[in-house]
Amino acid sequence: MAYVTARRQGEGQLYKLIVADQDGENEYTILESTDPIMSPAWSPDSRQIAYVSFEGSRSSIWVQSLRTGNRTRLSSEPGVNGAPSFSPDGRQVVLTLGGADGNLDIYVMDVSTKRKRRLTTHRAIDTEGTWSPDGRYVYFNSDRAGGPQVYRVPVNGGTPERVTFEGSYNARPRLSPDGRKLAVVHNDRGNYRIAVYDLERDKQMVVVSAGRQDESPSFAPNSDTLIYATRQARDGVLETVTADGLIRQRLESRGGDVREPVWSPFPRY
Amino acid sequence: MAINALTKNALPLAVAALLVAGCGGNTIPDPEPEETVMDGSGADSMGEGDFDEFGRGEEVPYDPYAEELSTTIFFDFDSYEVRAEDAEIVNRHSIQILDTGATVRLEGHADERGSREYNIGLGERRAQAVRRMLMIQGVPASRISTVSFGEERPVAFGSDEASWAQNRRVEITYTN
Repeated sequence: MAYVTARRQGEGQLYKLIVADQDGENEYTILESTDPIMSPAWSPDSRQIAYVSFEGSRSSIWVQSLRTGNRTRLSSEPGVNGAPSFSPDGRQVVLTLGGADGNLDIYVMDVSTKRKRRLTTHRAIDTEGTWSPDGRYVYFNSDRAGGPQVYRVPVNGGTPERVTFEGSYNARPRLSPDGRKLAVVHNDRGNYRIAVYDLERDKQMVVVSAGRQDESPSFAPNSDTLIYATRQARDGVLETVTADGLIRQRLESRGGDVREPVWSPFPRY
Repeated sequence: MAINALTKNALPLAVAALLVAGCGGNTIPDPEPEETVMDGSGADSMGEGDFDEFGRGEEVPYDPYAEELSTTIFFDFDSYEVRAEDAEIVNRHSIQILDTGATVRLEGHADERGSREYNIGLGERRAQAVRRMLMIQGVPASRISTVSFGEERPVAFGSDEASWAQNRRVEITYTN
């Protein structure tokens, strides 16, 4: 898996993008910066990680090879460059761009040509795009109805369709690899928790975490387990939970503030 | 960062800017009003509810040399509008930018609650509110850039309203 850590250092913080085994062993830092690093996303072959960096006090999206450490800049537009997510075939990335006027919308970019097309145009915040495993839809978060809710739009364009209706806050959508479940950050009576929607059974929702500030759910390749970040005192720590919410386990803290865990996909060599 | 380089014609300009702010600065619409949530579960953290009434009773000319010009603009809970009393600070920056030919970077921030990339969006909304205000005062768009750090670069590290209020902010950084 991959995750980001932040450790206070003098006036600011030191951020690291780390790759490790599922149990947290064999940590390997692939990027270190005094500027924030966020939103790591695996390529489907597990050979590359896309992420957002704030080096130079501007946001940019990078793709870095794990084997060579080489990286290429995918996007560095004025304003927001955020939330990268690879398509199932690895050829495209969905991302968020804000432009000079700050209207965040979802774009799809071809990784090799860097040519991009716009998928949403609403003046609300549209962000946190992620592909459905069948490659047909992009699910994303939009506050076009007031608060953040999950919508989906066909990859080739079309009218976005609202997916979540439970409560006032459903953000950061992630689909299970089998396409049957949708995990979100959900506001549960004032607490931000991980919730799982059953897309096959009438979108029944189960809150599966119990913290106050839980975030960044990511499904395991088996679709039955999730990893996410929760708080222990002031620092982020990682927990896993079964998709039915019944079995929760805290991973031993590696120190520092750990956030944004992402489970690597099955490698397809 | 101390910025005291006001020229001597700054005062009348500043007063004019204040008057403009009285009608223009407060009418920037909230681009996307949030849902009203009664249980404190809003997209941003809970504030004191001390929204400022629009318009001030009287406009008192201030002494631009009296104090250091603040470079941080704070925002209320769930709000993306510059507070009435902070409009003055933004206006003084606009004068300074126009007088000195400076360029600025507006760094938007959100508190820690909720998802990280969505908070990038909320921080950008705040930066854009300040940007629009500067542009109303005549600062060209080419002299302003924005970046949103969302919740990634807090100045206060507690998980309480006092810390959240300090983190909901826009920092004005002079880049030349």
